[in-house]
Amino acid sequence: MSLSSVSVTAGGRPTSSPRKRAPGEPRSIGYLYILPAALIYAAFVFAPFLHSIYLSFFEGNGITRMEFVGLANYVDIATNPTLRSAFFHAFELIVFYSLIPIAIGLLLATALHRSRIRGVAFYRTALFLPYVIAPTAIAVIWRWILAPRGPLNSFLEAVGLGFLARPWLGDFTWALPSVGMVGTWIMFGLVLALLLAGVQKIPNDLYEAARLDGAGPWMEFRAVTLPGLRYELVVALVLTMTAALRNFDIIYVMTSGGPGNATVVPSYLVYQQAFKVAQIGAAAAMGTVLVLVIIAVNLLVARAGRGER
Amino acid sequence: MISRRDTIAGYLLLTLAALISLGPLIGVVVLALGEPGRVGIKLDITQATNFGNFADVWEKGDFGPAILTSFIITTTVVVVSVILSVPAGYAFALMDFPGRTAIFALLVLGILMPLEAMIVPLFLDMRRFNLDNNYWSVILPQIGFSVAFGAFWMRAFFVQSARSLMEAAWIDGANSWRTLTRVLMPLARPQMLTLAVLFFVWNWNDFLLPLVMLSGSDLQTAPMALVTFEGARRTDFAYVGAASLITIAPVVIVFILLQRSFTRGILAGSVKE
Amino acid sequence: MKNTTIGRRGSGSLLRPRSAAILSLAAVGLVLAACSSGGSSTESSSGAPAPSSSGAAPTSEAPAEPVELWVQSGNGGADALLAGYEELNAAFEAANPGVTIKFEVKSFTELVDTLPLQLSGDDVPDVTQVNQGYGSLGQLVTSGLVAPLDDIATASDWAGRQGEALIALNGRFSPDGKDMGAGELYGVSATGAWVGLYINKEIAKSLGYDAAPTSLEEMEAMLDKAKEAGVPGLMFGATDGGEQIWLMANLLMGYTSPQTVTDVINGVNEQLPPETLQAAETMQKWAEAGYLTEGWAALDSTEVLGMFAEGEGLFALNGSWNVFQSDTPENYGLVPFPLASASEIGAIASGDLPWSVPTNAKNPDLAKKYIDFITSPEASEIWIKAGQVPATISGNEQALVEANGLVGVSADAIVQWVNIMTNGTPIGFPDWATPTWYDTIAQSSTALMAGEISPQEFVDALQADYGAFTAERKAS
Repeated sequence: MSLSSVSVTAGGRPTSSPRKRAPGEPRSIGYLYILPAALIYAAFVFAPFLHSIYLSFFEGNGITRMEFVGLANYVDIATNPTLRSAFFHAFELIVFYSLIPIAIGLLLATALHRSRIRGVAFYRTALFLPYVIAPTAIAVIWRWILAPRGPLNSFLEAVGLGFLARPWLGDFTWALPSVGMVGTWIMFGLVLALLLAGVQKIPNDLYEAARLDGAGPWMEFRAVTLPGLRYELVVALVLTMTAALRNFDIIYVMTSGGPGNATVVPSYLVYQQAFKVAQIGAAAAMGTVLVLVIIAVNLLVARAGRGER
Repeated sequence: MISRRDTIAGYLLLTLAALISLGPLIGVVVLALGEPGRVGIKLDITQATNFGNFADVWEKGDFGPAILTSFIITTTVVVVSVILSVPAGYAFALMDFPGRTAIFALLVLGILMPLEAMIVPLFLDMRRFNLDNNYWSVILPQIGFSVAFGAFWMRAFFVQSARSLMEAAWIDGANSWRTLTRVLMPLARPQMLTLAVLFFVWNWNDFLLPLVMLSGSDLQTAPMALVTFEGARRTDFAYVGAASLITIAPVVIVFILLQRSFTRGILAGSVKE
Repeated sequence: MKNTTIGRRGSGSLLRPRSAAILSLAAVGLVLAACSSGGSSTESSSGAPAPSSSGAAPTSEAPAEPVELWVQSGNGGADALLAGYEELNAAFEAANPGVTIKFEVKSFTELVDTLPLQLSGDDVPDVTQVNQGYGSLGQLVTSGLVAPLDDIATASDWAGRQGEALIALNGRFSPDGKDMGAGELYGVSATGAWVGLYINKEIAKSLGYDAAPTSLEEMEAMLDKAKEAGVPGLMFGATDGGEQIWLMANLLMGYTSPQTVTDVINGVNEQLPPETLQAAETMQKWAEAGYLTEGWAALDSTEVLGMFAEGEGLFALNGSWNVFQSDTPENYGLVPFPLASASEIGAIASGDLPWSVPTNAKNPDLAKKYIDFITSPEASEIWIKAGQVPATISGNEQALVEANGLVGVSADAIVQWVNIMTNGTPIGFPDWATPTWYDTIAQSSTALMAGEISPQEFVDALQADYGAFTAERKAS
């Protein structure tokens, strides 16, 4: 489940305290309302999460033998080049999932902030579509596009750029950026729509005031647009970075981490270690580190968003 | 202020962006209608007339049962999660009980947590209790994740817009349940719809959980069927294209019909208070 | 099932496409539910006509007379093979009144991944296919989950049917599961699966060759000619990893001997033979010389064999279970990969997933009878009729092949199997050696062939995995 967005923007804020209740009801009646949701959440999300942390201190296949190994699995992640590279790959993917779409989005949103566009619904639908459809389908589609004899290479050859054609997903240098570009395709429309909606909410007088102060386009961008888009940027960053750090489906279908280990990412390793080589503890440790990284990244973004206020 | 030139440039840029978004999908439609077999790799719009590909794929890839399974799982998750999220969000927003903040914080954590972090014990535990390889093994964790976001989302709505109404209802002597069902829920309908659309999209597309939970059974969801089909018939390009379209069709239809609700959900995070 | 179409047969583990394995929930094995689910994975995945489980009542509660024999196969997706089993099942039922066979089909990965857990329960199949190798059958033997078959094997002279080499290769383990290839017999294969060189005779002729290469040297010369002529030499697809592993094993066999490679697979020594480096150098050389299909690193095995079947390329390296139909079958041949000289014949040639009887089986005697039946010379005829390679050699294969109108690679698959078994040395699949070797070889060899790592680094990576497991196995 993604959409961690809102948690950071709205959820971080303390509620003004409603210290009230319906007449004649005990305070504890609130428990009844949250109980079903809380129980299912506790049983199927939170408890397994704690259990996973526990398992990460063991080694074994989860059935017959489990041996306490302390922090060994974590030491492995820090020292084993393959495991470590998974995290580097995930961070590299952030460039493609987050930074490039946000750069594109900012550029276009700035360029468009003064135009009045009709038919926003159509554009939004088109821009959101890649984000809505199943990642597995996206992976299948792009696997075809990037195939050695796929449309991308045919296109390159047709326009005389045949020397650029290559087996994208089988190339040690290009496989990860290729997967990354798919992420850019998924995310850029979403980010653009988000930033467009935001930029249109910035009061025009702010721009006028800036202009009266003699601000050039760059100053205008820095002083008005960027601060005005603070919330949208936080949402965009949280959504896209979380997606970049997870990213199981796309890797599973498109490359399985290959060629070699060139596109291995943490979520794929969790699956592979748990369900293919029966290293339950190692998989659990990998998953735990992944959660910590995701939470840390989100907190950082949230803090940066607040700090800019 | 708004110059004509800016507006034209705006349309051009947006159209270009929309084309980039839609391009690969249009390509797949042409691919899917192409001649079955390896020739399908050449995109030729004049040959894109093989509507029979969809029927073939439906049959060969067992998409009928897969789509049905996905529907059973997803609609159950959507309905139950919305029903559970509303009262939870209501209580978190408007009621005062000991531990409220702490419980809410734990719940919100679930929005951030990736499934990968608990898939291993989830699988082990499900198997231990013999819950794996059936619908529930997917439905229950999906509800767990969904209500985390749902409670959060409904709380945000109730906090913003329901306080005074609720107090009025209390003064009229309504109890908390009556207040929720008679006064607040009619108001919250758009939010609930948004929630339903988001839940539908997320859970329909989910792949890792069913992959792990259903792998020992005959059950497979639509994304699983797609991946299986693609693996087995990778070289039948037209078929693979058709299979992709079959898999995404329900979500695309729901999305287009309820586009407003969906975008509101995504954009709401940025609504300034 | 992504895997099953190519991953079936004993080689399945070799071909297991990493990405694919939708059912590769290895590890822990889950399938308690398998007992309850009567359907088959074939049915759900490919729409193939799958044998139904007929829903008969559990044997234990049924009245004494009708017995249900629960047979579990891991050949999901292999439709032609399953058709052969259906025919044999019908024949077995006819010969044994009162016996109904419940034939359950799983995908290869599903079977392998779930066996340990399933067989440790009470409700187990009477007969099941297993996978060879330390990680699979070895583990079952160690845990005492499968029963020895030596009594019936001796009584029916299975060694006479299939040759002791093949019997040992597929089913012998020391009772502690620590030594493969010798000891008691825990499983036997019904059909054969071997890896060979597919050749496009027409292209060979256009390059000036009338026959398949008989030595590695000649093969390299042909590859070079093909390259000069602008023809892809070896159709190669690396994404599932199997082809690299076969190539390495075949080259190593050419530089040493089939016996040496068998010793490697069985883990006789902790050290890989020095010629492994030579094999690695050749792999890298071939890739860099442009002998392989363009884009090999992003193609998979099924894909390239499909291209080959459409007339592209001089050779392809693939399994006998992937024989294809063609409009011009006489243009294609399938032969053992050439070794050092024409006088030597050896190939990765094992049985398909061996059949075993679980220790907890309810009808062990009937189960053994069933296995005996599907490996009998009479069954061989049915196999050939179904276009399959029988593991048991009856001696009149050539005649049966002709009588059934098999041509091209379909005929070669059977005829050459007999050739390997009678004139050559079958070796196992290299990944039986360690549980993680498959992935290690697959990943490192892609890097090797793409020039990312040196041959020495490749050998070091293999040795690290191999040495560690072998030492641990011997120590424990």
